[in-house]
Amino acid sequence: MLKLLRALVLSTIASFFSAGFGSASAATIALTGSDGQVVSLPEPPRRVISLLPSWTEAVCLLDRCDHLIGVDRYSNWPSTLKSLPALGGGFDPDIEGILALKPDLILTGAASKANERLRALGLTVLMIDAQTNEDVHRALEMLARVFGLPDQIAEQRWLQIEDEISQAAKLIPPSQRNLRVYFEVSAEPYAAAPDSFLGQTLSRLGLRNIIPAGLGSFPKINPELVVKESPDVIMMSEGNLVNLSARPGWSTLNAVKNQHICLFAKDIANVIVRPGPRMAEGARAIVDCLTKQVSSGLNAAEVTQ
Amino acid sequence: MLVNVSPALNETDAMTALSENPHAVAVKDLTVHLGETEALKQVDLTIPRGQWTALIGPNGAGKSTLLRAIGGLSGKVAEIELLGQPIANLTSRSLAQQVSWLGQNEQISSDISVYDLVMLGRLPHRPWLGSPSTYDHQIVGDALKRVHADQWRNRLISELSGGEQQRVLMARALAVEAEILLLDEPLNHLDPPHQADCLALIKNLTSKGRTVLTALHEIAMALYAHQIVIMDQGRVVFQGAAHEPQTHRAIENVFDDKIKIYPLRDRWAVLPI
Amino acid sequence: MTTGHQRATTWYAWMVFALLLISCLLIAAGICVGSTGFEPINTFLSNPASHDILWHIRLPRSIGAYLAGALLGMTGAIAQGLFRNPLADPYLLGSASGASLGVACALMVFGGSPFAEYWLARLGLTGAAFVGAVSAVLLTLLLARGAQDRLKLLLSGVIVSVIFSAVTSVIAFRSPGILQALQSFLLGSTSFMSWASCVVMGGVLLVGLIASAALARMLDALILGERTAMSLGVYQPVVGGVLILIMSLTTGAAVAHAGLIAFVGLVAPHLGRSFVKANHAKLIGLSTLIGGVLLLAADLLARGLLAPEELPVGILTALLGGGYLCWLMYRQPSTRQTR
Repeated sequence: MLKLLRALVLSTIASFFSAGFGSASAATIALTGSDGQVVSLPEPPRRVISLLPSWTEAVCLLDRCDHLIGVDRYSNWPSTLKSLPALGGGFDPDIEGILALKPDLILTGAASKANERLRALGLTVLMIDAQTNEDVHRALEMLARVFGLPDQIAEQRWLQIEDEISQAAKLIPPSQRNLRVYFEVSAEPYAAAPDSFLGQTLSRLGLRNIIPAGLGSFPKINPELVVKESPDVIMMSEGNLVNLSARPGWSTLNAVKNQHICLFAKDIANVIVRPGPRMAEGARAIVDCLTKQVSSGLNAAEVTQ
Repeated sequence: MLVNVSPALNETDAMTALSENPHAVAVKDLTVHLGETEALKQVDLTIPRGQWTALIGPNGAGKSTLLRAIGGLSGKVAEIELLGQPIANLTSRSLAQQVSWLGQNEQISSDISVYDLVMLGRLPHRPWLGSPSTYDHQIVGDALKRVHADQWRNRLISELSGGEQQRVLMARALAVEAEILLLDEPLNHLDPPHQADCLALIKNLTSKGRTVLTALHEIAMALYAHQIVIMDQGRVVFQGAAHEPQTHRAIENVFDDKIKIYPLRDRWAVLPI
Repeated sequence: MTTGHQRATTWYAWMVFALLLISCLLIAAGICVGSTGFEPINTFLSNPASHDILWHIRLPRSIGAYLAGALLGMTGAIAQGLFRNPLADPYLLGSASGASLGVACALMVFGGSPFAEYWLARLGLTGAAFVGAVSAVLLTLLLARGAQDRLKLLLSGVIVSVIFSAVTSVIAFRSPGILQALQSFLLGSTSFMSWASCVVMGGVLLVGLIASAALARMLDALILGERTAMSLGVYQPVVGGVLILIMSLTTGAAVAHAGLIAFVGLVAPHLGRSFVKANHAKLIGLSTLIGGVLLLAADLLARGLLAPEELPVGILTALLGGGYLCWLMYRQPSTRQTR
């Protein structure tokens, strides 16, 4: 039943856009979110609340920043958002505050009871889940449609992001290509695997992940694996830094001995890990760190494999 | 030591009832399993009305199991009849009104007052909701007086000693006003003067037509009863009047002749050999 | 009738009246407390959004918090009576870990198959938590083969709790993305309560109260021991099993709507027992009212202390409840010495 509805909706949208730059003002905007719920709006929303930093950034990327009337507590870019009310997190939003602002649309990235409650209160909630690069591309398309923008705009923005990433990849000196990397996401340790969003960024930059595919996106690994695989560079967020040489066997690692460790400040680490439109910025931060490491002798040719 | 109580009106009622139905409890071929073992093996037994019958026997003989079975606590088995009625035909409530059971090691889980504890004995007669009636209060007061525990009515049960608690539990059993009382080791924790009080109480009950069945390991006390039933390894091995010599020989027999019963004027002393 | 008992009954009536009064005051306070402050009250008539906030958010939240607390208080009193243990709480037989597992499963299959999405849309996370809680208790009953053996039942409850927690951990481990959602459920919150939640919880509370009234005598008799209670004609293990099932419904409803709230189900009967001891009909009634008051008070603090930010209410009940039990523990020696 839902599949039929989805097909109907998509074909309706397609028919509108086949007529050229469709004027969305005369048509209803209908979309299906990642949770299977159909969202329909009579016209592009003018009062938007975003409860996920990635979607806040996406809305601003589409030049609809001024339509935002409230964001979650973690949205911190662009800095003009500071004047907007913070409405809790994605899982525990301030329902009362949201209702008081009378939004036309609420963007969220999480499946939670909050969505059910907000919908029960008569508000429109669009849930978009993003795990991969492609998901962000599709999210941009969806958001463009929501705001009544032509598909081309979303496409342009996406190509821009892609371009920036390619540029960043070119900045990596030839000696750094194919470096073997270990990115630790949190201290348990949870690592970024190739099929995660972050893993995709790393492979876009031509770097090799020591974590094999098929373990899930952010597997909890045995630190012995890192010792066995001996990465060229270890990357992590500053907040996660513990005494690495205290970990058994790690003091023997080349990367630790030669201090080939990329420590990212908290807010930059957030950008790198987060599937969102600022992925190019994240890629640049990684490249920055690698170019700095050249001076301390990091060289792909040195490595045994 | 035996309290003299003037016969009440209900004694004549008891006499007429006796002639109609002489047996309080009739057990036919009862077998009860406790886990893997047979705790009771094909027990045949009749308990006469208006008398005190004492169950004695070595540890593990099945005395407690038999009392529980008669009280309907092992399920309502078909092989037991109370006052002519198979207990399977009785509702839980009517069974509870006819039989009062006082167990041996029942743990009290809340720190309640003595009065409230004895009032719980009125449950078989009370409706599902509502305060106790004046009659309930009267019965509870009487029961407390009979065990000489009335002065503690507002104390918490945990504040009393073992023996004092035992007397309160006895009052609870009395408050049920059941015709048949099943008492499992009622003399536990009681010092000799209070044991004597308990015997007097039982004699009083039977003189009013109630039936009392006790499991006792104090043989000397058991010999004050009207009837003795001797059990060994899940079977009934002897039943007879307490004062008769063959009963005494049977008792000595079941304890491997390690004890001897000596007459002492109008009662008996039981001493190890 | 003794004067002691007359005094006890009027004292009880006054307690109930006082608790009902406090409850009304707290609910009224609940309308005033929220992240937007007094604004909605001031603009109640002019602004339809204010009306929505007061009528659709604050009032159902407050009443819902009260009902959830009442459910937990009632179930706690029943659990302590049925298991003859003053440390029993409503989560004894695995309902807490069952609810967590239900939520974890729902979050995990989300976005998977359309079939899963369909059921998720129908049940919601609330329904998943409820189903999980009730299933856990059913499993406990099955494992213990009925309610005959109290010790076996308690042990089965522990086993089911541990296993369900482990499975929840495995799910979270495999899909670490659900961790945050799971945690926000576990910490407890009333911010998602609606009038529908109030109706459901109110209905379940009514069922629970009727069952309690019918079975209060049984719980009274159980003070003397299971066999004695049987001999008094008021207890059968089967009835105990029915009571456990009803408890699973009441706990499930509370947990599904409010999350895992600690200590309310443990502390409310304790407080009730300082006024009423042997009478479970009265104790359960008191415990229900006290539970409601406790949770609503904690919720008001949760909403008001760091406004406009909200603390998870489970943290407050843990702090307050834990503090009370600490005090209780250190108070005991002095009372025992009076002899």
